[in-house]
Amino acid sequence: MTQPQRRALCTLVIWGIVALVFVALFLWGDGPSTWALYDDWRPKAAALVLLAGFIAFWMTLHATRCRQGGQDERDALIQGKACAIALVAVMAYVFFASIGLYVRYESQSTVPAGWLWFLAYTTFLLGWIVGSAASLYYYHVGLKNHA
Amino acid sequence: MPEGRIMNRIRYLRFINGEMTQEQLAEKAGCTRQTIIALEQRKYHPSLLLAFRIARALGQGIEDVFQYEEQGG
Repeated sequence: MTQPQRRALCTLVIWGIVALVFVALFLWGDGPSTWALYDDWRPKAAALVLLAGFIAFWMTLHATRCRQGGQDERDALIQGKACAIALVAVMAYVFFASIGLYVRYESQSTVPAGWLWFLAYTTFLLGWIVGSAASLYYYHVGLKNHA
Repeated sequence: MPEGRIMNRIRYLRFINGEMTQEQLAEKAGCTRQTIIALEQRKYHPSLLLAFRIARALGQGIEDVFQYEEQGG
């Protein structure tokens, strides 16, 4: 396994775990309606999880940095494709999540602010997860028909 | 436009070049060993620049290393 593949795998695992814990914390108890209200402990726990994720990610970047010549055009092409897929996934996610919130809360004419916080962080997490998963996919199946 | 595929003889040419290893060829051509592996398994089509560098590293012309085959018409 090459350094870029290791990096993609570690990125997927780290942000995947963070996302799972994060979503579980968000939905805990009353979910978004009480998020960050009444001295809620969940935002603090989520901040700790995110901090742990950033530290682990920084360590991964450091541990999987490439020596000169460690990456070539194939790596660049795969990473470019993975970024394009992640971008589309993030756009689709934001679009459908926003529409979903609109439909859900249309009659109440107000959306719990916790949902916006959730949307912001999950967009970030989704980008990393989909990008690294797409990289691993292309490393596995290969990349034949490119310009 | 008809579908095409790029075939290559890298593995054979490495063999007749004193059993050159994938690592040696990668170093000469300026790419990674994983790219040579992907090329030999036909999981990757190289850029024209890399194709020329591989052909030169193997002491061959580009069409001696890479061949284009049309499919389906």
